[in-house]
Amino acid sequence: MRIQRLTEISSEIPVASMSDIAFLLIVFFMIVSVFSLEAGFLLKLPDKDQPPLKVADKKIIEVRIGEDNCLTLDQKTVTFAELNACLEHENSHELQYVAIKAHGQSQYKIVVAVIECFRRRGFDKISLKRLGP
Amino acid sequence: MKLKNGHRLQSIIPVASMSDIAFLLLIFMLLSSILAPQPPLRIDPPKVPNTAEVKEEQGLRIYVNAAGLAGINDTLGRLDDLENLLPGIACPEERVFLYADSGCEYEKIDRVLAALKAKAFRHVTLICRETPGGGPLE
Repeated sequence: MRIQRLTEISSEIPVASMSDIAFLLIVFFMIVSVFSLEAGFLLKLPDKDQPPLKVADKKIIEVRIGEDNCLTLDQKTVTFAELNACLEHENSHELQYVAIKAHGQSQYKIVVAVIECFRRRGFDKISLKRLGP
Repeated sequence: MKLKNGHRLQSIIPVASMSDIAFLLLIFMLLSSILAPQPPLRIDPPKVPNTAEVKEEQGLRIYVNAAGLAGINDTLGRLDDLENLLPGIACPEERVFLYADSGCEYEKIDRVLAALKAKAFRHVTLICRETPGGGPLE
């Protein structure tokens, strides 16, 4: 008498769930990945062989940052609020050049804050110079 | 007489190639994504209320902290050796991202800018942290 086998072993690998796994992996990567975005100010450095640009004095707004981080706008000591208020009245900023002269011991965050102040008002011709050591 | 339908409409959607498509998408995402670089120094950038958003592209990353340590990409060194550590510029449009501590003295930043200028780098981004209402007194 022949004995019939009850269970048949399938010779196929089940791949039906493979697409589910792949899509789950895609969703995982999409969730965990973050777009690398930073915030900042773009500066364009002058060419090292380029001679210094000569600009008429009346077109330059000069801001000095002292050793103790105090601000001087056109030889008058000002606070940040006063600097902002002064810049609000400046209309011809397209023609104006800004010279930020910072003391070597002044803090970087103050220099950045002054740059931000001018950039916010549309001044884009900004030069940086170090004073003192 | 009953007419027999010649061909039957299949009610099954073929999904056999779905896994191939999914894996191709997965490989594309893995290849096109850039891993976030690990900074060699812990930096606290200055907080400002408004900045321009800068898309991080491939470029040179310079880190400067208040203690005078400097890092270029993933190499750590001293600020005094920065000019030696700086690579030669690959193209004039190459970007530099400057990450500096908010409490850093300006003299250190000026040295970095001078070194970059000497190596003919022209596009420098001062990295800040945008904080609504933030400012220099924070």
